[in-house]
Amino acid sequence: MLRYRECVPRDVPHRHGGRAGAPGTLRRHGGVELTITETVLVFVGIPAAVIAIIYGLVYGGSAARSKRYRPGRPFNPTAVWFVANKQTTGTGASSSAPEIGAGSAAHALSGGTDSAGTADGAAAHGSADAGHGSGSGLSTVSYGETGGASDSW
Amino acid sequence: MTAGDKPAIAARPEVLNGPFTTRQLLRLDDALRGADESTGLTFSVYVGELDQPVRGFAEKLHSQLEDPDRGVLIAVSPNQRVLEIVTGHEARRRVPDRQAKLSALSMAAAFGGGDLAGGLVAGIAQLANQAGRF
Repeated sequence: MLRYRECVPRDVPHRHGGRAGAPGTLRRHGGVELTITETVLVFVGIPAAVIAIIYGLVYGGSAARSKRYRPGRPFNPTAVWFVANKQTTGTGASSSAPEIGAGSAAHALSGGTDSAGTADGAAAHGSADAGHGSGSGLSTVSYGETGGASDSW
Repeated sequence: MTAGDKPAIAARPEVLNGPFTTRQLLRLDDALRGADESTGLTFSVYVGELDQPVRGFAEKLHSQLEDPDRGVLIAVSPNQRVLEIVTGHEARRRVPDRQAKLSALSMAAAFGGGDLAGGLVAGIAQLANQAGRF
């Protein structure tokens, strides 16, 4: 059985033997002495870095997924207009559906606005119909050209 | 002419700035193609702002389809929370307005939950199922 004096190195100051000696004493026995800069780095810098990483993971991730649609929140991605791309039927799913891109859709829409003829007639009728059917939930078009349904959420 | 002729790695396509991810685009593509093939109608999906009057604007879009008579346009404005289904003269016989309204209801339910692509795919499938085989 070891006695205390045998376990402890010789130059450790005795518990009751007064103060610890020179600054090197603690380091020599495994203690760590920190300067103010080191203390700030360890106890402020590292937590701040961890917080920054978590913050980045959380909000950086949601920025990448900002496409997500939430009803009631502003959601203004580029307008898209798709029809099935019949020409790629044989080649497999190598391309996605867009045949009419957003740019051409916008172009077509602006072109359609000032074009005379059936489009304007339909628009005029649609406005009348919208005014008529806005009260009821089912505001389908009543005339023979086009049918369909409307809904909102 | 076909998409295969284009260089495989082009600039980022403009459609990716739209509301859908690539995976959702592929699902939509499948749904549209399947609906077209099984019904002989032309299904089309527009997602974006709809000018007032909404119905008239949707009909204007529909009239720009290749064959409006056989065209079924689903126009969705997530921001305005409005959905319009426009069926052409021939398509209307296959998809009566009542059935279109049913599809619109189910799509609006999905959109209300924030699921644009899922609602569209389900709605297209429902409309195509209603139109049946030609």
